[in-house]
Amino acid sequence: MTLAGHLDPAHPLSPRQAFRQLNPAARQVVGIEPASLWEQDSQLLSPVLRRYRQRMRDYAHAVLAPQAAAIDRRPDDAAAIASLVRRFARDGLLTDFLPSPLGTLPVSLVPQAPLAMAIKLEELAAVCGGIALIIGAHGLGMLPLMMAGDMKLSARVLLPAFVRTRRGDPVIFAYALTEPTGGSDVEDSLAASRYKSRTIAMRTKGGWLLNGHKQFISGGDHAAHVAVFATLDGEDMRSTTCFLVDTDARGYTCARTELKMGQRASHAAELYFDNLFVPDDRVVGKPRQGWAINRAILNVSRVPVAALALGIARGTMDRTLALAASTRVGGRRLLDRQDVQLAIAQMMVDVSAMRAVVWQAAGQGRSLQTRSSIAKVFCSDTAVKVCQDALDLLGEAGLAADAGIEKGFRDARLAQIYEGTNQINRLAIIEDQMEWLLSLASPESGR
Amino acid sequence: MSSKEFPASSRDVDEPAVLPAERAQLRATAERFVARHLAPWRDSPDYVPSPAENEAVVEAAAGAGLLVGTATPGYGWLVEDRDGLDGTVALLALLAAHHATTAFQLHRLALGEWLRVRLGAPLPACRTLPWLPTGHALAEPAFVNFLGRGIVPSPEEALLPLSGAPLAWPSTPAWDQLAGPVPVGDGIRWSVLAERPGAEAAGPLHGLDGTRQYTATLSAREPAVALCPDMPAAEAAPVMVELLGRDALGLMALALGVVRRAGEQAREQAGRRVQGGGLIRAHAAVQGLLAETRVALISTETALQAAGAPPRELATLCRVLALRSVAHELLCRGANAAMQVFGGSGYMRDMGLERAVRDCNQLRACAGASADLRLFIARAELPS
Repeated sequence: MTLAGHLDPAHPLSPRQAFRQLNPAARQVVGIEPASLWEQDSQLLSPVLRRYRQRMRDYAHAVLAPQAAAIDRRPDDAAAIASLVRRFARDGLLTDFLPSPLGTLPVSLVPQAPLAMAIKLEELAAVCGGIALIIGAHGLGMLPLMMAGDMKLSARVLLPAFVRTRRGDPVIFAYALTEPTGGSDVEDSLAASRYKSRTIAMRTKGGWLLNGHKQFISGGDHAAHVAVFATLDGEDMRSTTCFLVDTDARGYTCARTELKMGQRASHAAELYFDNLFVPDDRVVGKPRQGWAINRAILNVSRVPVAALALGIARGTMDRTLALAASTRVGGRRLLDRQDVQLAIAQMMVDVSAMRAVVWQAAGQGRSLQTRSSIAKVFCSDTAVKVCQDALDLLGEAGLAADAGIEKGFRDARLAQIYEGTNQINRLAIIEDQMEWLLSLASPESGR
Repeated sequence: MSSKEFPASSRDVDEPAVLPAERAQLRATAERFVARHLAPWRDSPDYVPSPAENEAVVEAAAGAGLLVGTATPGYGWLVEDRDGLDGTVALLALLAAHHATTAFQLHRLALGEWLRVRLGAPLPACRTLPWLPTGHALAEPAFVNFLGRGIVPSPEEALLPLSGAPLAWPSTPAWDQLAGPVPVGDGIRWSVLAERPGAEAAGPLHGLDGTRQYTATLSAREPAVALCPDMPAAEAAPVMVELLGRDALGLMALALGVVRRAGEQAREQAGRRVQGGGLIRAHAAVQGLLAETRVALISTETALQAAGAPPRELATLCRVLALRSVAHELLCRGANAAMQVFGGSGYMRDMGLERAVRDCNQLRACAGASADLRLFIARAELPS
């Protein structure tokens, strides 16, 4: 069996046969690996990560795949989503990124936790970007507690949340930053310096009264706790403070959820705070520390967004390959056409490059602004390109919702917007590289 | 739908000129139709009309004379006046700027109308959709040979509709018949391939909300109903060439209308939204996005002007498809850029920007995506 346009692998001129003539030393350097790109990349991982990757892939196909298309069509099916989230809770997917001793990630993976989380998100998003976002947004909601390093508050909130979640009664967290008047303004330092937040915290006895409005808050409708960023009354964005809000508190309203283009399993909620009392012990970190927490979290969370985009592209590529292998036009398989082979190879190039960028960014010890933004911009742009290429390759066959190709485009497109638009992320790269760039412009640079 | 008998003989392929007065009258008719039927849908982008509403709006368009012209009976208005940007292109773009799904359906029905008249089909006028090849089939060498040299593809290649073979096409429910070329020996029988009662509608499509992928299998037992006497392949091929060319021009015009609307919205947003203490239109990042949209519009308008009349031979079809392969890529980029100006709001259905992106994607993929169109051109221009 061979693909049209290629020699039979048994032919003496095929590299598969020719390389047998190489001596053992040469074969150590140059090899033939009759395995998929996914399997080849797995070989780059440690054995424990390799097993984890396979487990996540199997899990996504067993648990997410049967529901993904139905939830995309009916994102208001609360029962289906709740059932899925309960399953995630029982299986440890909502608690694995917690620090020891709560985290449910296998102990052997803890030193490589960011890479493991990137691998998990790729595998889940390969089946459904929206369902992967449910988990990703929940992790984002927990991050302020972990980043602020407030052990008392973490113990008070995370411990009971962990216990309930592991019992199958999920306690969901969300992250409320975006405002109707400020999306990019709350993610970029210069813009923030000129922005006046519409979510204000006023001092009151024993705590704070929150008033304001947030929008596009992923998971805000299902969350039990929301990390809300607000400025202090009469002060500018430097006073940004993070408050952990219980959603059953008086004054908290989830007014509506949006009908989105894609990633529809995860709802974007519009939240209102009306004299919502937040006790002092629910301030995450310290007052006026919120901007630092927010910018730090953006550095951390942009890599998972890149991983999610990678997963969406990978899944779309896999489904495209399956269709190309099973569709016949003009009496031959699409996969046997050279133009189709070229397009598929380009998808593999793109997905492989995305994975290299994600694994590099997730494998570094600290989340650096430049690397995180590069990963986010590159992977989200490339994911959209891969999905657009898939639509081009399949033509009308790729347009049917049932084929699962067009959903990839809709899902991927959000990655260019959230966690800072790609325009904002490009500016974040320049902001982070400022000293180096200025050194190039200085007279001493000699150029 | 009104019943109309057409002459049995094939109509002269030269279309009558549309006079400026007629054009102005048609434009006014279209504007009234748009204001009455499509403007409410434009202003509620997340609203998907029901099948009954889709049917009603097509009936209204036909009643207004948009599908069957009055000045030149039998010629669908939407396909008869190809005078650069002033004629049909302008009408299709106007319709698409308000509701791309309806505009797409009217375009394809008008093409069906044109096909029946072009063939001198002696059947009552009804809502006929033309069969069009998928992109991959279009670029197959045997299909290119059919168009250029009048050689009928072999049954094994299944590039033309065959008995027992499945057919698939996108449409709203507002259609009655699918018509296309069936090979009969060395000739072609233009036939009714499917009728709506016998066709299945699959799930929703990526864009053009309200369209479905219809499928049917051409009966192997009952002979297809012929629209006209069988014709030699060399005579049928130019009809197919013209059909493909008109469709390509129409799809470009539709996407142009979609992006015009998205571009207007983006410019309004850029002049309204404040970021970093000033309007976002002051930022080069936003100016770059607006420019992307303008480049797409200007390029497509120029391409449509350059394309001129519908192609009647392979060389001019290649010219139109070349323009289309570039225009749709630019228009998709333009739609995406317009959406990006809105940030998160653009991703939400109630703004209409994400819909513009999906509509452009769908129009780009219909009847040949860019790579297929380019392969077609290369193969058409290579020696046999």
